[in-house]
Amino acid sequence: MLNTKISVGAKIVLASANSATLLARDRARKRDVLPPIPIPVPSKLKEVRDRASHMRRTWLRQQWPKLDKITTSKMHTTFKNYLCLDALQSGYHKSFTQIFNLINYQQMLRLRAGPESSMWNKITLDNEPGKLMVMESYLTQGEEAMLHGKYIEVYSCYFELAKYFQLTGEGDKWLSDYFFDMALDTTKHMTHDDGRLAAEANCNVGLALKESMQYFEAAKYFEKFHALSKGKPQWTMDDGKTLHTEACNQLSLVYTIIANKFEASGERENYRYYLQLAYDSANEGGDIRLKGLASYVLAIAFERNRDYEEAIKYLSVYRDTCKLTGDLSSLSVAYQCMATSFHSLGKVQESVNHLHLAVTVAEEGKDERELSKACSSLGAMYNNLGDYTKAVDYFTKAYNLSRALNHEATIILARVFYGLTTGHVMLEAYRHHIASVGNRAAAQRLFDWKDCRDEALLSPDKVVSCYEAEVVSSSAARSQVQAITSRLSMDDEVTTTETESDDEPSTLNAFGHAAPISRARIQMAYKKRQEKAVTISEKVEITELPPSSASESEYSTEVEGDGN
Amino acid sequence: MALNPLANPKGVKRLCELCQKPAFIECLDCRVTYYCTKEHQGIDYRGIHKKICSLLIHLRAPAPFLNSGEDRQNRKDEMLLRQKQMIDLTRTTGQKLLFEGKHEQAVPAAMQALKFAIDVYGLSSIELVPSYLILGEASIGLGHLSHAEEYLSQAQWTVLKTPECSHDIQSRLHRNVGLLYAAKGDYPESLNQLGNDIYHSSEAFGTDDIRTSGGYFHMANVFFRLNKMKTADSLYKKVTTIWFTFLERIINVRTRTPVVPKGVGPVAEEPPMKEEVLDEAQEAEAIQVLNAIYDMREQQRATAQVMAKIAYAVTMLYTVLHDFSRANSFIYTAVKASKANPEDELSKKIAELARMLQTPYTSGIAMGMKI
Repeated sequence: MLNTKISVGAKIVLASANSATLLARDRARKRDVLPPIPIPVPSKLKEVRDRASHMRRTWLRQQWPKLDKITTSKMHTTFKNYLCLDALQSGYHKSFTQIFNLINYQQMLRLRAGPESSMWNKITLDNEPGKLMVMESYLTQGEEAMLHGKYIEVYSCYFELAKYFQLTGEGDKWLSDYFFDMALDTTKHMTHDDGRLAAEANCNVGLALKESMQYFEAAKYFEKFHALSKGKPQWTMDDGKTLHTEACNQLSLVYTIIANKFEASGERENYRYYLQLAYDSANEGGDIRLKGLASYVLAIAFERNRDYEEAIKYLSVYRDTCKLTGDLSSLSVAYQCMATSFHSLGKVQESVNHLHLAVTVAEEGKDERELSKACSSLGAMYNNLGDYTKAVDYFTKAYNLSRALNHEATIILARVFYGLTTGHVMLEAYRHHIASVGNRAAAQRLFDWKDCRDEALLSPDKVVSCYEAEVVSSSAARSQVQAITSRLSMDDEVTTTETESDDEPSTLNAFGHAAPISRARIQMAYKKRQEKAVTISEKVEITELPPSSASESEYSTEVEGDGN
Repeated sequence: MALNPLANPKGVKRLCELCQKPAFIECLDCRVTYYCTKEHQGIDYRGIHKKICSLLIHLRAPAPFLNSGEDRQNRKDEMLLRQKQMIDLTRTTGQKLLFEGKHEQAVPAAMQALKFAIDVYGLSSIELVPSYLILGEASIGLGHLSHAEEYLSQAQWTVLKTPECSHDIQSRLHRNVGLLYAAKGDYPESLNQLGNDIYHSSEAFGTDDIRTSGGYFHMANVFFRLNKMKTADSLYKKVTTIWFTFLERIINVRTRTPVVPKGVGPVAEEPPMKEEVLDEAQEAEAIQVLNAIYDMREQQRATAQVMAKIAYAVTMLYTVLHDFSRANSFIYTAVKASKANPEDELSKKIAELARMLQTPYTSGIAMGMKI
């Protein structure tokens, strides 16, 4: 009795505690409040309690949501299990196989990468219900269509899936690639359509491979795409371009990338081969910009290989495309390159013509950089041809432009060339002076000095004695001197082609002729002055030579000042 | 020999193997097996006793007195090993009989398997589940659906109590429960169970394994009965493909020509390629499944390509099992069907196999028979 009483009491306490929690929960759910249990009278205790609890139980059972067996089983298992079951129950075993194998493949990759790889940080596919559901819905749709033989719909399902995974992020590229491949496979079964989907599928796979940087395989697919879209001008894309042009353009791009890879590894022949292919595709495709670029790169490659004729051929193509696009700076570049090729072929006049064209075009296009380059090249041409005044003109232009552009390297170069050509301009006068020295001894001294470049030979009293000696010499000596001076002038040309600039002591020391050359000019200038002051028959009054260093700087600035 | 229950020693009750009633006859070969009537003896002998007669002697002989503890321990280990072997043997025999359709004979085998499993593992171990499953399937085959349900629910309960149960056992359980529901006519539930079976089997073996193919086959049957022909058709195709690739692999291993070593001198032996083998139960399953599909295709008058494929698969199966007479009968159909598209790769393979089968000597060597 006692036991039962205590147990009953305990049960009532428990019941009331239960009811309290239930009350709280129900309040949270905003439902009706549970009817409170009446405190029972001891005699009718058991019956009342049973009835009350029974009532409560039935009331509770009504409140719980009705779950059918499937939903309950859904709660018991993993989402992957549920999804696979869903697919299998409707008989879509192919979708099941694909989803299952994709999940397992990812896990296998993870295991294979080893415990240290970053793949373990990524969320795997079986933990991403959203993506799995999307996959399942499309795949089941596709399978349903496949059962009825509607391969076009199957293709579109795979295509949509691939696009979806392209947008979900970096980590899902492999899924996107997989679905593009599957789309391509389905096109093999399609017999009734016009093959356009097959072409598009090949293009998509090619693009996907290109993004994964597998350029050779990408090229293969693009080639297929190209072959399929060749005779079909009616297949157009949204922006009006035909699929054929798209194929050509993609092929061209891929070939260029492959060519660059070959260049990086030094295989020049392959480099040229692929550039040729790139050009051919771009030509076929008709995109002017791509065609121009391809032809330019190909031409440069040929030039490097000393195949100048081919280079010129492709450069003319580039020139035409630049004219069409109206890109004047590129046109200028084209003309300059053609000029170099012509020069290498030996066609000097053509080269000069092209350089002139380059200059005019650059002026028109107001591209200062190209203009300065063109002027510089033209100046060099004239320098080589011997037309030194024109050369100086162009080099001054180039120098001014480079100063305006404020580009250190070009300024230095321009300055050097400018100095060179001004030197050349003076060469004639210098030769003339040397030739007209009647004083055989003086000329001899000059040669001796040139041979050993020694300071000691420059002392003024020796110069005076030379002049004295000359008075005595015969005209036969003069003819000899003339022969020698011609040799001298050639010699001088050689020396003056070496760089001479007072601002660049480091480079000039390599040649080691800086001081002597400026000294030669001093000599020259000095002689000029002397000539003015002296006639052959008269004795000369030598004024003291000013100290050398001061004279050097004085004379060099003077000379430069002449040039400026 | 006739037994008198009253003549038994005190406390010893000799009970019939099958029905557990007092036994009146014993098996004369082993003398440790008892039956109540000759019919039961006949059933048991045909079912399992023929195979395990000699083995039972060791297992059921009265324990001899052994001197040392070591000897006793050795005997214990030996007994355990023998019992486990017995379980395996009886189970495979049971499965095989089931696939051959001999449900009544499968029952004694399954019962033996169950008894020995209980002896070894105890009453509620997971190892009992396969035996329950065989019993369940046999009952379904015999039409005793309530018995089947009992056995299968026992199996289900055991699996539920074992959370680390392997996917293999789970898949088999689901397959049998699915078959039960199909027999009862509850097709949606059956599909649910079979789906589970395929899922677990794929987890255990892979989606394209021959063990998963059974699940696909039964699912195809259900869809066939539900009259969803297209789905059933695609599932049958899948089963055919799975068996096709498996059998092709075996035949390729057997008929591959060894690499001729170039030049003279010692050559490293080519490591022998492991051939995948079918155990008895799988053989029986393969025969049942492939024949069923073949008959169905014949009835449907399927396209030439489909017929060619299934005929070729059956031929390969019989060549693998060294049953050349049956193989020849099927290759004829295969060749006829493959004439529709002669340039197909499949047709070439059929032609090759036909050629191989026609010359018995070479086919013998080719099929790996040791001469």
